Amino acid sequence: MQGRQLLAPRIESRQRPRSGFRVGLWLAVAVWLCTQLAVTGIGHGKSQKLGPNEIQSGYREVLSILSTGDREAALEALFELETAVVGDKQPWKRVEDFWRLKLRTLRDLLDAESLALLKPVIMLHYEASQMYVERERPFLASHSRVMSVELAEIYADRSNSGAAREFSGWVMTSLGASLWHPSSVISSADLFFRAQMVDPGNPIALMGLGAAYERKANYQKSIEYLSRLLEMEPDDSVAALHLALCQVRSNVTLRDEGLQTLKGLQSPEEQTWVRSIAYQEVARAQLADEAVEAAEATIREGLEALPGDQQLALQLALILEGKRRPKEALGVIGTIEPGEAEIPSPRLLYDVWEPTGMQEIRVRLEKDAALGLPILAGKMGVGAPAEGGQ
Amino acid sequence: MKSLSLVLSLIVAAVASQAGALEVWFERPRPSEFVFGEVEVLIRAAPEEEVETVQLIVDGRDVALFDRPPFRVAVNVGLENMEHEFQVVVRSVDGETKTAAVVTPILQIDEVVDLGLQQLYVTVSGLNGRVLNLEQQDFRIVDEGKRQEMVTFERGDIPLTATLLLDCSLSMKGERLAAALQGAHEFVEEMKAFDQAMVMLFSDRLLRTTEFSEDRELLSRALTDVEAAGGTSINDHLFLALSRLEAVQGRRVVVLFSDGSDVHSVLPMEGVLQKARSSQALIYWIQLRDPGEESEVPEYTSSWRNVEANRREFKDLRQAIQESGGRIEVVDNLAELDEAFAGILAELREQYVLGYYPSQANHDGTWRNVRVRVEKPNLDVRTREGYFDY
Repeated sequence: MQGRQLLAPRIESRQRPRSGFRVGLWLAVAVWLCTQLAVTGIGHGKSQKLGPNEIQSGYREVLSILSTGDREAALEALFELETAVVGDKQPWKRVEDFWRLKLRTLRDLLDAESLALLKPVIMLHYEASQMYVERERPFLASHSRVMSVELAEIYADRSNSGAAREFSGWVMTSLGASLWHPSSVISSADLFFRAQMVDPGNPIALMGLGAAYERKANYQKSIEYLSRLLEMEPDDSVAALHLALCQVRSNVTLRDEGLQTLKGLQSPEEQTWVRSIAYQEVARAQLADEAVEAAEATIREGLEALPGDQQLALQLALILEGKRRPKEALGVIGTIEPGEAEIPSPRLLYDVWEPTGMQEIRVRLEKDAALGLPILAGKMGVGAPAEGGQ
Repeated sequence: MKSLSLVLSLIVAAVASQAGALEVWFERPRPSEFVFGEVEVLIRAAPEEEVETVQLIVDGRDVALFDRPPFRVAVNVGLENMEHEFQVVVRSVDGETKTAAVVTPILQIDEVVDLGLQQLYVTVSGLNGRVLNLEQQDFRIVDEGKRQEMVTFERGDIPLTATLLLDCSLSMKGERLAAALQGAHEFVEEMKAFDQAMVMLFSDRLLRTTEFSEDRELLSRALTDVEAAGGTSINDHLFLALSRLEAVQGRRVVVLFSDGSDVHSVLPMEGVLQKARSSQALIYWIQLRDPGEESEVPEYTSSWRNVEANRREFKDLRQAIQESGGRIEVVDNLAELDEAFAGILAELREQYVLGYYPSQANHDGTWRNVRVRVEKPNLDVRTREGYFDY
């Protein structure tokens, strides 16, 4: 009965603070899934008419296999079960029921002492989402992602420990990172938002939200998340660069602070591309203020520090053109040479911020999740009946 | 007998010499004339009926080859204050050659001269395609509302200098890039004597460039072994292309091939628009779109600009192209690419070149609107829409 109480409120009413991205996310997911269904034909295949008991029994079987530590076999068993259930012409309701049935199965296993058994289950669905992507089953990939995230939230909420919150935060961040694409940030941003709700100190989630809001030109929100990140990691110069540019673009009050940060990021200790952007953007701000001489001085200083920088040279040529010094401008243009093909420009590197170190995070999550397997095995019991009490 | 034949030979030689007394001289520029920017060159040769070809060489470079009068052309000698050598080689139908030369002086610092032959490249189309049978008197040039006196008039196949500016960003990967390279290759193959071109490949950075060259093999080589990668910086590279064109003489053209819009440039399109206005080069854009794509203006964001700012950039790019007298050729079928390149080349082969000295030049750097009208019905006339009065 304790297990029921642990999960029941979440099943009946799953309410949480909503990020600005969430409504857009669900709309996007709905449209995308409909498109995928139309394209792949998923949803028009034949599903087996499994009843609730059979589904729960099947899911318990999956969990039993998982509890032995054979994750590959558990994934295959999950694939068999889920593709058997989902696949009719109206999968939405069926998936919702399916989701509830799986949660009920878990609820029956849980009590306050056994919450850690959720960790390997969370990772099972995490892995399943990747598996479905590889097998071109987008509907089930999305379903698995949702399962993983919902369970991670339950685990963090009910365990209420720092370690559980950190684990759950990284699960969501890692899933968000796997979806991250600079031109389409809504899905990732939602997961980053949920991650920082359970683990406010997750640096990737904060940076991802900062970058996502910047792309939406919501600089105030971006500043909020990036500032939080920099309070924890003051030496993160990429975050500092994004924060400074958001400040410069946001309002007059913060503009000077942003410009000061940019000048600091021109230091030789910073990465080359960060320095280049810092010079470029200080000069652009000076040009916006019609301080042409100052802008020229900034760019010349930048070119001295970073000789061969194509974009700084172009800026200088444009400034010289504006000052009616075409011969000098042509001289500068003449210095621009093709760069190394494989080295991206500073402005591309800035634009395509990508989460890094996610493979290591995943390995760490898997190790952590493995600690929950004995608890899961104990709950499942060897030879225990598959159907649990409802 | 010997002395008689000697006398006869001398008489025949003298008569022959008298009959073929080929002469050539420069009417413009005069030896005392300071020349900058666009310069009208007018060559006289007599007797005209004995002239087979007239070759003009400026500062050691072949600039024009005439096979019939008038021997008149506009050349751009650049803005540098330096001596310029104009040479002409005239060849008679009998194979006789004569040369003449003019060296123009350096302008001393306290001298004031009036420059500014304005050159207009005009495309005239009727219901059945381009119209090539118009005469000088059919055109009317209006500069800031005032009719101007035309001092040069040419039509047909005038040598050109082109920059083939190819977007090699990631979105061009595969068939798109292959088709673009093939189209550019066809363009190079169709170049005629005295035409020259530069190949410039870009993504978010300058990837590859050649010098201006008439060597088709060299240019074609630059169009091989190209891989698509990276982001897109149209503004930066259009500015670079226009700047490099300023160093060459004659009719200048940029042919931009890109499927997208600017994302990663450091230069605002507004600055490039100013450059386009002052350079007087024709800009053509072959814009590749997906079949069925209806929206003309792209809707996207990046870390650098939001949707609205991107719309402004796109609008400015279109304005630069329109003002230059070039055009946008939208291609939504890769099979039509060769045709698009060929169409631009054909258009360039079928232009009128009108020259005039503005009657009310103020040299105050203001923008002056220019219109060309044709005194015949149902004709579409396209040329650049103005110039900066420097």
